[in-house]
Amino acid sequence: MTVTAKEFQLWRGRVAAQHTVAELCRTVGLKRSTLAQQLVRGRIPLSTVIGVARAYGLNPLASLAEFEGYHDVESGTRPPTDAELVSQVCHVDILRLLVVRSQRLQRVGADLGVNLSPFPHGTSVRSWIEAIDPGDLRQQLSARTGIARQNLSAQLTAGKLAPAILVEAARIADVSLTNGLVVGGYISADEAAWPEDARERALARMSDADLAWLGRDRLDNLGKQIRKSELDERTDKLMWENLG
Amino acid sequence: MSPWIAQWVALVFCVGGVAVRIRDLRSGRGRTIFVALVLLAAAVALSIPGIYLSVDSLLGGINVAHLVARYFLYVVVFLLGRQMAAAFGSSRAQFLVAGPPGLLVAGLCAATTFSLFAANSMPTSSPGLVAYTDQPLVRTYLQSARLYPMYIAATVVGPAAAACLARGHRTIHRFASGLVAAGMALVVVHGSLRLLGAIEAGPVAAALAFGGISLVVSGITFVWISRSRYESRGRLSALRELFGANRTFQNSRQRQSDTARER
Repeated sequence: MTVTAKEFQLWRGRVAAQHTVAELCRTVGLKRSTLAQQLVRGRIPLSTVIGVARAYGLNPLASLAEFEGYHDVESGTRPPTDAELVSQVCHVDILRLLVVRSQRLQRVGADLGVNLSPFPHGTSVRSWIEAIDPGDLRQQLSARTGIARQNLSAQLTAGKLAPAILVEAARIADVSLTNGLVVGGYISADEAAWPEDARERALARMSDADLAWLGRDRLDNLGKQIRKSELDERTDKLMWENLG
Repeated sequence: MSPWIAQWVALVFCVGGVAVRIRDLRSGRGRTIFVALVLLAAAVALSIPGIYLSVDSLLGGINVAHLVARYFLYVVVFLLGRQMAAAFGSSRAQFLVAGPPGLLVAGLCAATTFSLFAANSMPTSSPGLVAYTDQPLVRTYLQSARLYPMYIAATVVGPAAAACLARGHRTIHRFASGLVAAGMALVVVHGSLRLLGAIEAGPVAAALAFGGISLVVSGITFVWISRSRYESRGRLSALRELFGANRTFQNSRQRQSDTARER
């Protein structure tokens, strides 16, 4: 979510002591009015903190760890689990892999034969939450962060969760605290120290049955999404055809 | 400022709505709305004294133009009401506008208006029939002419408001539905106040009635804008759009972090 303006100012004084606010904004590539507004409101979004850290050559995670609510983020960094890695492969790549495994003489564990598209993708956050869910993640999340369940669902459908909630989800599910920030697009996989080709290796380890079931689940979700967009299109068409 | 400002504004909206739709006539779409807007523009124009007097003199100078304007308005509200009920997906409103009850109401109103007009003798052209408003029968004729538009507006205002509040709909459609709902509500409010005798013909009444018309016309013009934007963009399969949306998402994120790193 946000950090307090007071904390941000103190931190800024340390990491960019030689720069005025105007110079800082120029270095980061942030509009001065934007930062001024954030300071007046008293809440600085995480993207600003991470932007400043990157611009001044600092490790975004180490910088984040200096703020209230994120102290354990750096120490809580571990390698991602296979389930998390697989959740970051988009459905088209999963289907491609099913085809490749069906057509080629390829043993499980061998080279993938598919170039994965980059991530985070459109359903990254939702897939990640589903992948780490111990069973009652949504209930616990809403109890601990005070966000209503239906708001949480709406944000998940839109693929947008606030950083503090992503970190809290990781805490509840007992996975690396930075992974939520990666799938939310706040920090890069490199910055969270995800191993190179980790997704490819996790996929290669999957058995054929698991892969088939994964494909089924992804298609299931995709079908629901498309059904919804078709319903939306039908209401649009009614408007266009009758009043357009 | 001219006292007929509300009428002129409504006329400009109508003519604008007609103008943007001319191009579509070749492909044959939006014909119903086009006809409705042309008739509405004519009816609004006939409410402006200068235009009324010259048209009425062509029709014999016995205020037939007033009756013609009423009938134009009836056709307009019937067409718009039918299209809107369908656009908002309300089968109840469709039934009430174009089903048996709607046609019955339309027929009764048309017949009543004609007989009341014929029962009156109004030998001199008078815009809005203001010269005759001391005659009870003329007042009844004027009141009765408001019933059908009010009936249709009251039928459509609910579905329009519902479409405005529907969260899943496109923002531009919600905005357009909101304009339509507000316009229809104004038509109902104006008609009721006039029937109750709370307001008389004057700037307030004109602002309500013609403000309502302007809102409705701008609402359907927004639907036209939304449609032409959609058509110029072309259509993709839902699969491609979902996958494409994913790619734009990641690309924009990628670009953000790239530019940040370069700096």
